[in-house]
Amino acid sequence: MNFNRVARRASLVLLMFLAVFVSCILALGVGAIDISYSEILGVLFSSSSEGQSINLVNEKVVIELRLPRLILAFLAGAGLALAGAVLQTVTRNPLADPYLFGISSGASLGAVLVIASTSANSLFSVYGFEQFGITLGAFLGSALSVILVISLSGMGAQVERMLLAGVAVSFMFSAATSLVLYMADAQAVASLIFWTLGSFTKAHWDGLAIPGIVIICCILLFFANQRRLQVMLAGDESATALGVDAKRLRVYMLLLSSLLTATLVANCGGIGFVGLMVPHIVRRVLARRTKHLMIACVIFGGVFMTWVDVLARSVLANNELPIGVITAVIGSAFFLLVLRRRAW
Amino acid sequence: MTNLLSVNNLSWSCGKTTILDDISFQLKAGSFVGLIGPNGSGKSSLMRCCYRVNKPSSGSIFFNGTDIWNHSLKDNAKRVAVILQEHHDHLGLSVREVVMQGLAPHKSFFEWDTKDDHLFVTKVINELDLGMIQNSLFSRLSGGEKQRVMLARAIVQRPKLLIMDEPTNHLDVHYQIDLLNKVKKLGVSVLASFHDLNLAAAFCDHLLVLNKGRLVAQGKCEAVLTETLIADVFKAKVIVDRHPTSDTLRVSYEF
Repeated sequence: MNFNRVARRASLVLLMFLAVFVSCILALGVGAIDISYSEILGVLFSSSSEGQSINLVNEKVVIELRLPRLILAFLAGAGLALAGAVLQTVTRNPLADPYLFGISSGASLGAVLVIASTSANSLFSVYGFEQFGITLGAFLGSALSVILVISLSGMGAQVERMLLAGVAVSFMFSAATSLVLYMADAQAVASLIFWTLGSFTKAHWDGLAIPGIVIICCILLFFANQRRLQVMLAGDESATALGVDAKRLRVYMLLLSSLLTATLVANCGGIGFVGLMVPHIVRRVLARRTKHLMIACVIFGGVFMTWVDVLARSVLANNELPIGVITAVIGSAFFLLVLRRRAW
Repeated sequence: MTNLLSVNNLSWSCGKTTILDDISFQLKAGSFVGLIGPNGSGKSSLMRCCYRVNKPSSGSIFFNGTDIWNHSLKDNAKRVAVILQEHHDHLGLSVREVVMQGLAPHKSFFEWDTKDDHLFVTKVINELDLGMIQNSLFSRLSGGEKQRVMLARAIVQRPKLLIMDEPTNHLDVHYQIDLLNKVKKLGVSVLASFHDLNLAAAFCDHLLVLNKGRLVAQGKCEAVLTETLIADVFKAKVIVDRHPTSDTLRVSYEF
């Protein structure tokens, strides 16, 4: 029995790595220019000795355009799914995700404000400043929403009030974002709308550093707390009796999740539904223990987003679909299917 | 016997209402202490003070000679385990995973479960006849099974004192007696609240009676469970005699 469990776990891990590898290679092959898979493998592992010469333009496309975009998509999926899993655990509420707490809408508002104000003034739209300014704006917006939610719920003591406050704050910030869009000049609106629906078009190597570092730090901190997170599921009072300060841990995890979400919103816009859906599906079909859930959410969220981006690039010829639209459509359909098939 | 828990002039108020008023008692190591009293008399509040959820407004609680508020939550959790009457669904955790939560106070960040941990958990699960259902979802269990899982988790916590807040609520007669017998066999010190006076009489060495936030009586069951005290505190007419076969106190109600 013990051997079976080890074998099962090993094959699951192997399967996950295989899924990541295969998805990445396949995703790199999709785009405006046809590039063969053998060429992609050649570029990635620089084994040009096989006799096949690598086209320099193709190499540039893969390395400079497709690879950073793939990495950003993977990071976004992994980070949002992980944030959702942690938020669901600390609130013991299966409906929690970065959207529900107003984290995403706060981040969107902050980012949209920065974009709208810089596009009007070309003096500020110097490249490096813009990237940094959007990230900062997004983080300030999400921090504001988290502070509102926490202070309205008695420092995180009452979970129900926290969720309700989150919904209210989320609507408030969405309304403010709409207002900014309404007031902005027509030229800015088009790009703003596309951005609020999520997109990976702006991915480039230098822009990956901030989200990469934030995600890795968050993953480490979440894993350091995996046992305490699992204890949170027992309820605040039992958690206290098991030696975990439930209130403090919840506020701390909420802040970390908002940092994670804000970084991603700043880089790829508002992408909904991944944080809600991926942890659910993983919990139902794969893993329930908190640490396994978190690992599986990172992998599955990343792979899922990779494929969403492939769809976004390939459904319409010479045009891109917004990421958020695809995640919502696929997510809700798949979610309903899973919900129907397996009763809790 | 030494005093494991000593509560000294404890008062606790919620807002402006005083819930607990000047309560003092000692719990000796190895004893089974019952807490009885009508609804709203402050039983749960008193227990919450003992496991460090409620901070006393005045007075103090000492465990093994030191104030419990001088220790971290984690250190307290190594010595005191708690079983409540209502449980959360644990969002899809299995029975074994819920039992494993009991290891939490003994682990630091990044500390994974060892082989010994697993052996210990398996031993506890088998002792409580949970082996067959250890991979089932906790949320799917019956009330009696859930309470046994809670006991298993408390045992894994390796406490010196077990606090139980009406642990036998929602359980049928068999599970009520079964659970308390299992607790008694552990030999750990216990502080438990009861609604059923017969259960309290059968299992406790010492009884505390709370009424409107005050400790109105304490002592051995025979001294405390008298017809006049029950009439006074619970507003119920009863006859107290001895059970014909087991010779424990028997409380019969007049309806």
